Amino acid sequence: MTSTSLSLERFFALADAYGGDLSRWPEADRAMARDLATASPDAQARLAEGRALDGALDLFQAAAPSAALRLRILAQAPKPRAISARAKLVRRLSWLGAAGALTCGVLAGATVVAVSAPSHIDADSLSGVYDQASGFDGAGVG
Amino acid sequence: MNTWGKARDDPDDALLRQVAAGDQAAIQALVARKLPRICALATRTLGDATEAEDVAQEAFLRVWRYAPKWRFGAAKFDTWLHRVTLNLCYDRLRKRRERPAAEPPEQIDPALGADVELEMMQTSNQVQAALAELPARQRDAIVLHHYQELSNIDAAVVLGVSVDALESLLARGRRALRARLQGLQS
Repeated sequence: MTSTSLSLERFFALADAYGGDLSRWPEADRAMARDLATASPDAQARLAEGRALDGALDLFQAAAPSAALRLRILAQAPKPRAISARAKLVRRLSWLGAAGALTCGVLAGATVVAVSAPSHIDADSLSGVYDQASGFDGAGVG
Repeated sequence: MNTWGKARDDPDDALLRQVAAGDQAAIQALVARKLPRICALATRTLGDATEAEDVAQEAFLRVWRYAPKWRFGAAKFDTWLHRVTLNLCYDRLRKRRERPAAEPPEQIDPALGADVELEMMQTSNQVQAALAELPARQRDAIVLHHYQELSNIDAAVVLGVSVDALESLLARGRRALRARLQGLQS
């Protein structure tokens, strides 16, 4: 609506349709209706009539939905999306890849050790290797 | 304007996207937000709380079915849900008419509560009866505008009528109710 004022006749029509609470009137008419209601006792009386009916209508209480209904509705709701078959395959392949790489690494390491190790290792030299590798220098051991 | 109201800035959009992705928290939030409204709409349209719960459950089944296919921006979810619920109510009202006379309405058991509670139930029933006596379109207009607090534009969209026609339905309905509820208006 582009007009800047509301006729009393139109105000009555709006009050008859939308009731006594101006916040429930069409947005475009609210400011003009508020101005008219402030200035006109007839407009105020019509709003009061509307409010009386609004109050009577509010006496019809609808019960809140039951907890059982809420549960039934939630039970029918979509479930979280399952992991797709493709995602499952990618996950399996990545595990296989990691396991394969680990196996290769272990085999390669064993091969290097076998090739480079002396033909016989005495207990003393083995103990020295172990101590170096573990950072243990034997200090304080008695 | 599209078929189901202005969908721009639909306050339910973000939640509905999460529901479509199967987000359980969003599903619970949507039920918490919409179920009381949908139940109230069905109760006031059917005048029967048990049937209203059945309708609400059916309406949500449709929500779950359509959420993944929802065309965002094409429709306002709340308006669509009101229309779906009203249609389910109409189906039940039609079946009621086709059935032979149903059992008499339940009588209030005075042992259920205190006098004040009893009086509140009686006045509530009085308004419910007055509303039920209205022609269906007038009742629906009042339920959507007064109780569901839809804007005039959204209520008109749900009913598939112009805003002028909605205004006429509301005015006629309220006039009839004013006469029937004289004693309750203070």
